[in-house]
Amino acid sequence: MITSNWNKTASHMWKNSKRRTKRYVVFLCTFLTIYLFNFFLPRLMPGDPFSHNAAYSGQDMQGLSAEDLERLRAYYGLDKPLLVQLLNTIKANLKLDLGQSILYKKSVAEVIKARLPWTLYIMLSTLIFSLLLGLILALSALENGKRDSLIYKSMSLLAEIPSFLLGIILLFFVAAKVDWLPLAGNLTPFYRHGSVVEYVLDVLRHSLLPICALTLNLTPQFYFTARTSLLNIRTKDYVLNAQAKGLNQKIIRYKYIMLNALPPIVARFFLSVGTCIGGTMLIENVFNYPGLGMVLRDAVMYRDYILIQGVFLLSATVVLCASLFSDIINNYLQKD
Amino acid sequence: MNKKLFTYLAILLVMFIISAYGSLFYPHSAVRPNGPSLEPPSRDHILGTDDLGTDIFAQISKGFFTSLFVGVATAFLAMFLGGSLGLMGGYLGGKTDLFISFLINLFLSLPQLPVIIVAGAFLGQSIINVIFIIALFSWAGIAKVVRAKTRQIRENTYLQLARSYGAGFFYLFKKHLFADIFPLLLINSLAVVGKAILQEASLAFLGLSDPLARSWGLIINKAMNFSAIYYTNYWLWWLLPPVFSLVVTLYCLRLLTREIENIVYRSEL
Amino acid sequence: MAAPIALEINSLTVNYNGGFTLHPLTTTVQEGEIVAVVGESGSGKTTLAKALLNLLNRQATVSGNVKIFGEDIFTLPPKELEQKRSVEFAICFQNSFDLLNPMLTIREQISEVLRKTYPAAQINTKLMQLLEQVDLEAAVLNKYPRQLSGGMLQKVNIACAVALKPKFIILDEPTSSLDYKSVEKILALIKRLNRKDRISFLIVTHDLSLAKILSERIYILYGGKLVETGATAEVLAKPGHPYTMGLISSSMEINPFRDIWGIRRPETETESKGCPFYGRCTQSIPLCTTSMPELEPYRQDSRRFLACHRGGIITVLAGKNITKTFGQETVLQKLNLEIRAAEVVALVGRSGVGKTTLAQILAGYLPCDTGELFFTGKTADFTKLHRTKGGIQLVFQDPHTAINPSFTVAEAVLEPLQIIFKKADHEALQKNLKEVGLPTTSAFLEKPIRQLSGGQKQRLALARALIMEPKLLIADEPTSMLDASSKANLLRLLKSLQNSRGFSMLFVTHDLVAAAKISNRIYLLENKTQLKEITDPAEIAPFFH
Repeated sequence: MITSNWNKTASHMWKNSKRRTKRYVVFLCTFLTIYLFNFFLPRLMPGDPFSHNAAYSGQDMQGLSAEDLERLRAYYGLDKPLLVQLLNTIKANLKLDLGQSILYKKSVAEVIKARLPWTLYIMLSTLIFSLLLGLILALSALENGKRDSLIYKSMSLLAEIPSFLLGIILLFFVAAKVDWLPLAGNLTPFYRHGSVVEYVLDVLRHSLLPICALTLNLTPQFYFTARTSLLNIRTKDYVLNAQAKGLNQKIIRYKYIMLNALPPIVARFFLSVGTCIGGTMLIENVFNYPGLGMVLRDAVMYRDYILIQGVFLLSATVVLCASLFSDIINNYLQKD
Repeated sequence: MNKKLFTYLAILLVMFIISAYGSLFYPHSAVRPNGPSLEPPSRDHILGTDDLGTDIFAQISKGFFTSLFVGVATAFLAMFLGGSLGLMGGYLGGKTDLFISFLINLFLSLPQLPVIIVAGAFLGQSIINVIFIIALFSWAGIAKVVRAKTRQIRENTYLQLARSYGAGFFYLFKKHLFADIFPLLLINSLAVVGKAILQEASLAFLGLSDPLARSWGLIINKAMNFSAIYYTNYWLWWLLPPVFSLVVTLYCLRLLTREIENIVYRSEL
Repeated sequence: MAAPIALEINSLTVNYNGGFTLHPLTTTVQEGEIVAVVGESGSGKTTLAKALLNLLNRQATVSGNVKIFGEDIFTLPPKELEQKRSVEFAICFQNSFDLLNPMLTIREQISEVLRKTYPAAQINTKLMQLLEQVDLEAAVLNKYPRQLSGGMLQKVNIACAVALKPKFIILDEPTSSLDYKSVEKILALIKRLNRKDRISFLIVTHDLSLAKILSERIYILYGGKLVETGATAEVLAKPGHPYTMGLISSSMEINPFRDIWGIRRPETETESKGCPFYGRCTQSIPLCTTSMPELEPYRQDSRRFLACHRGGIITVLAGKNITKTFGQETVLQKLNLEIRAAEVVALVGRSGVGKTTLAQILAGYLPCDTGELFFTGKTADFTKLHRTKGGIQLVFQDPHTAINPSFTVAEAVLEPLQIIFKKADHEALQKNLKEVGLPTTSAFLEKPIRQLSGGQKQRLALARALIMEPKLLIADEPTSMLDASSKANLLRLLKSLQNSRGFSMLFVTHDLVAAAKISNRIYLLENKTQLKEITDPAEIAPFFH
């Protein structure tokens, strides 16, 4: 056993580096697939894509003007060979040029730059609050069977209500009844904020309910992950061994149970970026919160294809990067 | 037999009967205006009318079938796609499996809602398109479990032995794979029903689903877009019923799935 | 002056709702003593180890009490108990890859223990000393558990247990993952700590040889019940409990020369009320199924205790002061010997020394001049013993003269039953022929004996003896007429029949090697007055030349 140890370690390291390489390859392939999907989507539509869809517009769909259609055709360069189109797109994208929005009469990059911070703010707050809340709930019930079953049941109930319905419920049962909570928007319109504090308070006031609705929906995910992980780690031999060694309860709790329970929770955090981005886009539309979700909806309504593609490419990239981070951080935590 | 299972099925059945009444025998149409607009609930209009004068109860009844149709059709598609791809990957192994695994991971790592929105925007928003698009982004979860299970079964000696006797794929599938994979496929496909209903409702809420199909999401969308909704009582009968129906349906489906999962899991013990 | 008591266990009982039980156990361990707890997997030895330090999970119901240096482990406030761990007593669990926190370095995990006593400034020195003691290089300190081999992890765990030199240490299979060189180092460490620091050890193991090397006292556990205890050397040399004897016969480490034979599988389900070993025991009586035997003093030895309704392994046949003269010549003089239940005893000697005479006296076919013979404690009534089942049967040296050559096979084997019970039991005939490896076809049954080969005749003689289901089988040179291959087959057959049926056997031979292979003990008949008993196979090694 001793002689084989160094071989074991070496092969272990080799396997690790192989796994690491594989991870990056998969990430790259996934990104390429999404990029190509995004590129080909408008070009795969039957007939002349833009007139086709304009004709199909429903009650709320606005038709595109002849001028807009002209501009779209020019942007996509549909008359050139496919490869040239692709190369031109890549060249432009590398310069962060995502095209010109028809709806906003601005570059897509500019539109995104203006709206992205609001979406990120909602998303990150939600993720952090849910993580903390889920973790605290799981920890608080660890030694208490009755409380555990109560929390478990209420979390299972909560997990099933979709966030945008939660948002609507909050909107009508809370915001409509409480004076100081706004019904929509990110800031009080046409109001000049006297100081930074006032501005911050205004932002917080407007974002309270959207974040609440999303957090209520996301917390169960973190709670379940944390609970399973903690319960699993608690029965490990090394925890019993730590007790047998007479280590301090705090050390056992934090350095033995918590530290080892962390990787799945961290993974959950990054994987939740994917679910959270969808939830945020919906909740923004419930509360008319001017983030990317509303941009995307408006872009679809007005058939602003260039904008749609820009927003999609960005959100897909964010989610992909999050899952890559999750992998990297987890491997670091597990001392690979 | 299982009490809980019956309760959930009974609730769904009651919803089905009420909706069937609302769609077949109720005097008002769900698509055409048929009365004064913004009527409160009355004997004539059980849940009143919307801003165009269309009866809300009729819309909700029709919405139940829209949701059910979307959910079941999507689940079938996803079941077929995920089941066959998962089985192929797990059974064939090698390059095919590598490719299928990549596809599974790709679809699992995509942010579903944005992709569905974008695909819907480009491909058009008929209800059939919506079903296809949601199914396209739901099969991966099914394929993943089916592939893992198939691989696990494939490792068993009895399968290797049967193959050494010359058994073909269809024999193996019928005798050795089906019994283990079917419950798994069923449970995961059942889960897709609920998810698909929710996704269609989300799309409709954004106004991105089929504007002609009366779905619950669409009613919610209309109600929310009615500017005076916050300051009047209309939301009580216009907004709450579709929200409530959606939540109850999703709950029942979820609990039903979990109960069936319990039964299957227990019988395996 | 008596040494202080390190460990005092008072009717410690463990119950799991799953049904597993540790039966009430009461004992003490002195300061500076090394005791071993030995048992097969599932015997409850690890449960006992955990219970002693109050480490069982909540599913277990524990009663009774445990005192370590006078402190009651079960009533001590949790905070104090936590402080005493590693400082006053410690445990090193059975090695696994899961015993150390995968997130912390080895340095951190040993230091955690050291910090309980030593100030930060001394930790490094102490770390180095510990590593030296358990024979690990300093390079392991900055590694994580998953980077170490099983043997290295085991050493780290032992280092943690002995780090603060607690006065009482439990080691669960301390050498299971170590190579033989490391085993030597760890054994030396345990002995040194025991001698220099008077640390008491409780060694939990399934390995009898480890117990033999390390411990002064031994506890044999079976099915959660303490069945035998005593000084290790004595228990291993003269086991009192049938289970202990079985353990010894199955141990490869104890038996480097002898064949190993596992304890026979249970014949019947053990009732929970009765003795846990009942189903596998070869000497059980009805009482064994209904009541649990208590631990009682054994053989007037103040340190030995035994839990067996039969008072331990019974002596099937004992001969005292056996003297035999033929005319003027004294052939045997004042010989003493005993054969215990389920034991194979070899009687070895040069030809002409009187083995056959002694065997025939023991079998009751030749009267002795003076001396007494006892069968299961009572004076042997050979007429009865020969004629009832469960008695004594002899297989004679020469199979050609032992069976009437004109008999058929069936007639020959059935003869004893025919004479005694006046009826032929054909089922028993089939069974016994099959077991000795002879055909059971009607053609073979009708075959006259004279047509059989020597080997077949010997097997037939064996079958005829076995049909009486003897408690003691005396086989006089059963292999002397056979070629090497038949001899090997017959020896293995005899031993396996003995092992599965559980009778005792006296195997008379001039062949010391064969004796060493299959017997538990050897009586070496050197001359008419000298009958030397050999229990340790190593003792016969010189005779091989």
